[in-house]
Amino acid sequence: MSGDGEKEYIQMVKETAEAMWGPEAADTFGEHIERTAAAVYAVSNYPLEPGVEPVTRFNPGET
Amino acid sequence: MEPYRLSLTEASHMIWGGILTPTRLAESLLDRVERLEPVVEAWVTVDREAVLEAADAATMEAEEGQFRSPLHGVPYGVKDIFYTRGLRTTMGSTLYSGFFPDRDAAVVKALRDAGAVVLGKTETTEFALHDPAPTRNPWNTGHTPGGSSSGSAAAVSCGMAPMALGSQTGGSVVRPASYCGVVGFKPTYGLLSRDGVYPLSWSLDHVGYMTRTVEDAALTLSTLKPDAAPAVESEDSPRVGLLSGYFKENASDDVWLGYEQAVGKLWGEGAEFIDVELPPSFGMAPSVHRVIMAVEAAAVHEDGLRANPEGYREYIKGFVSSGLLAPATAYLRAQRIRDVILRDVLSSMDGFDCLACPSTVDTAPRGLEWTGSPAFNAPWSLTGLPTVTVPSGISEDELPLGLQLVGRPHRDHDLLEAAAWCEEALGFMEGPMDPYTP
Repeated sequence: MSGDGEKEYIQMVKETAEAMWGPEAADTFGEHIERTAAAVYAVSNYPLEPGVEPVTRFNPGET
Repeated sequence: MEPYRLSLTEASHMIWGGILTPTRLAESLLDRVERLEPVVEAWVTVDREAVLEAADAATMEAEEGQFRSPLHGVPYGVKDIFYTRGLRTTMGSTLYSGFFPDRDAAVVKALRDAGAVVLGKTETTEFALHDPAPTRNPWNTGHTPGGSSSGSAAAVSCGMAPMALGSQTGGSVVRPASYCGVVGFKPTYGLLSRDGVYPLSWSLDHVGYMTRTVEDAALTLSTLKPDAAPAVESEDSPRVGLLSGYFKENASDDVWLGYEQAVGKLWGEGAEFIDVELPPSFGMAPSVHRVIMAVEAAAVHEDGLRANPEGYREYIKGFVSSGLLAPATAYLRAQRIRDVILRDVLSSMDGFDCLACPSTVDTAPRGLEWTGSPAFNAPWSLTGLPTVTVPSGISEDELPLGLQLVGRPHRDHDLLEAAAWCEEALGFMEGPMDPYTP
């Protein structure tokens, strides 16, 4: 995914939404879909070391 | 003085001193609700008979010298996503308009055990997300009180309750509190139990509350969590890390000017301020928050939306749908970046009692169509750090401004101590106000 541009990724998600729920719903939800897809794209392209683990039981300040 | 004007701490002292009965306090607050509710619309449910019954029981106990806690006999509001035994709990949704839980949320039970009295259920946006409640801002009824804990903030602001429970996933305690000119406290993630609180996003949801003073917030915390780490005693003024960057770029001119004025005033009173540069990872906070919240909200509402699509309003439908489309790897990646952001922010807090930034991007927006931006609060919901907003002044448009302080994890009383110092130095302590309609 990191090779795709943001616009192409958002377009792909919108097409997926249209295939799942039809063009009307995809259009109605368009702004949400775009904003979340843009966030997904940003997150997916943020460099991370393999050793960084996901927070699974969030308890800030404790390691 | 009419009892509704008392702060929570003042009411507590008077009840313990035998000067005020819980029944008299409840009557005063119920009368205030009856008088102001047609204008403010802060409440979903107030059962006058049940309130007086509980207050009478607390009065009888007090007359026998039995006080369960400092909050004995003090009425409070409960956001309508907290389960309350036998009292309707709607989640701000038509789907739950007839839901009467058979148990209390853990925090409601703790307050009931402490002798506090449920005054009623306060308005919330639908499922604590976005679609607004009818509540108006007492400072100007043509403006939103913020959300999602809309009714709790408005009720405390105009003296309908001395304290009200809220919840925050993005900015739903601090933002409405700031918009309504009251203290809003979001403790460290998990400090107050989320059990019996309808979820929006499990790993971001916090239980918090609004009061009119920081002292009231500390008293409430001591009652709810007697084992929370006490504040480190200090005679010194706080050492505060000043945040700008992201906050300066996104704040309205009014808000930034008010922030600078508040900081100037605190500096004049002896607070030590040092500029703190936000770590580069902080720039990812909005995207990381969005991914986690959308995916978790989708998981919460997926079944409900499939079964009753007509029962959901448009915004939440769209938000949930967007979360259903996010890859699992992106969610996990967001949770990994979250850990990086937290560690980086904690490093930048080294040597400070707390960090400071404005509580909101702007003052309460005009109209009731949306409840304002959580952009200055969501990063702290993401990192789980405790935050508190203290009223800090009035903007040019005659609406309240707030100073947001951010503490270290599980040092909530230290944060409230610093907030109390700022509150006193800022000298902005309004009593409950009558709603203003231009």
